Amino acid sequence: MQFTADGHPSDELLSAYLAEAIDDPAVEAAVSAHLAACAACQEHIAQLRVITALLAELPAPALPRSFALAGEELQRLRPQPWYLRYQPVFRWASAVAAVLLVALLGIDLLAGGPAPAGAPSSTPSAAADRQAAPEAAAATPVAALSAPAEPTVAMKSAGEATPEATPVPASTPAPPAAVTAMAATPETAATAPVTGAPPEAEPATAMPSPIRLASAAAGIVLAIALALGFLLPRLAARRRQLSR
Amino acid sequence: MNAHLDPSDDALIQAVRSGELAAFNLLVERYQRNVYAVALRLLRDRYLAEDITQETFLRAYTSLDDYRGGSFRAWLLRIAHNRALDVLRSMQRRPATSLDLAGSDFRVRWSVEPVPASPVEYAMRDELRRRLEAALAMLPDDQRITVILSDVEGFSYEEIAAITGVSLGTVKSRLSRGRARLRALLAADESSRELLEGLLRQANDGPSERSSGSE
Ligand SMILES: [Zn+2]
Repeated sequence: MQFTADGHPSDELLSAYLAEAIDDPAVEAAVSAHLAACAACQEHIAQLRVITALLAELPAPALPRSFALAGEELQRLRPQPWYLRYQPVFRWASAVAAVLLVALLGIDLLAGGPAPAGAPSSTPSAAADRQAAPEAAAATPVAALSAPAEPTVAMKSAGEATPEATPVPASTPAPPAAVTAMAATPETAATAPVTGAPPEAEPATAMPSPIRLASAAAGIVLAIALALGFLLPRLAARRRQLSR
Repeated sequence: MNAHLDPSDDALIQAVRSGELAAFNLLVERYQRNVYAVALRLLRDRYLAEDITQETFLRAYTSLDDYRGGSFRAWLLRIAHNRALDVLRSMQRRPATSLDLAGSDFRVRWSVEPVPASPVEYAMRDELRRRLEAALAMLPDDQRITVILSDVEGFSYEEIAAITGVSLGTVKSRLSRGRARLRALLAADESSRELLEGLLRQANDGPSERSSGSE
């Protein structure tokens, strides 16, 4: 990259001048001075300009096809951790379990817990239960809709169903044993069904009812599905973000 | 992340990494023209260019975790560039001898035709572009790649340095040598030189072209 024997800048030097790629300011000034006086080199530079302009307007090729990757290729080439692969299953399972749990608790309330099995004569509380039942049932579709989107909503709506339902029988004169049994139902059923035995009497409740067993199972499934479908992916994503 | 209309490259990459695999195809749509155009100009064979474009996106997808920020476009083009170089090296390149014949087997569908200024000038530019395309094929690979990336595809010097894995200084010197070589090739070919001089005369007679060497 220098001047030729006959005093003109080399082709490469002129090209570098045009690209403003000459590092040495003294050389650049020398080229500039030479250009001002030399018609041949001015022609050179002009030709280089035309060439770069023509290069810029070379037409772009038409795409022969789309290069998007097929769905199964995307799956095969980037294996997902198991909890992400089955995420939709877990999310639907949590929705179904939430609906089931609410329905079972509703039925349980309607039946008046384990006590009314032996005493169907307590008419005022039974009537109150019948009122409470539609409310619990009404909460069900909401839980079903919101569960796949956001776990906390499902949890909340399942939890809210009980405080709503319990005040109704409490307002009417009901046997205190039945009220406490109903109030105790949701927590004990969800976590440990065996400890859910009502405090007062009734030897029949030593054996938990099938409905309570079922709601306990639904509660456990719900907890596991929520953990795998929502909590685990989020924790894993956060850990990956931190490690990067 | 919530810009649904035009998510950034990094947002899309993040989405792929967290399991939204289909987001990768938005990146494919965004850059497949760049990749294919560069591959085609480097290899001058549309089937090879198609293969390389496909391979580039597959490789980018499987090694997406290796991308560490910066220009994603340059990262992608680097994969294509390396693959194209492998193919070029394994290929026996027939040396082109004349600007008339070289590139006659290079038939592709071109999508965009520039708007003609005047019929005569259009014909001249068109003919000269054809010869320039042929001259481009005669450059050494490193100069050719640099000229294509810079002058044809419009990448910045920094991006070209990242794509080809050399310093900025090397990019500039390859570009200067490539352009000088192109000019020499055209000037050595009689019809090309006449076209070039004719175009320059037209430009000088016409409205205005910035006079040379004014800096
Ligand atoms: Zn001179």
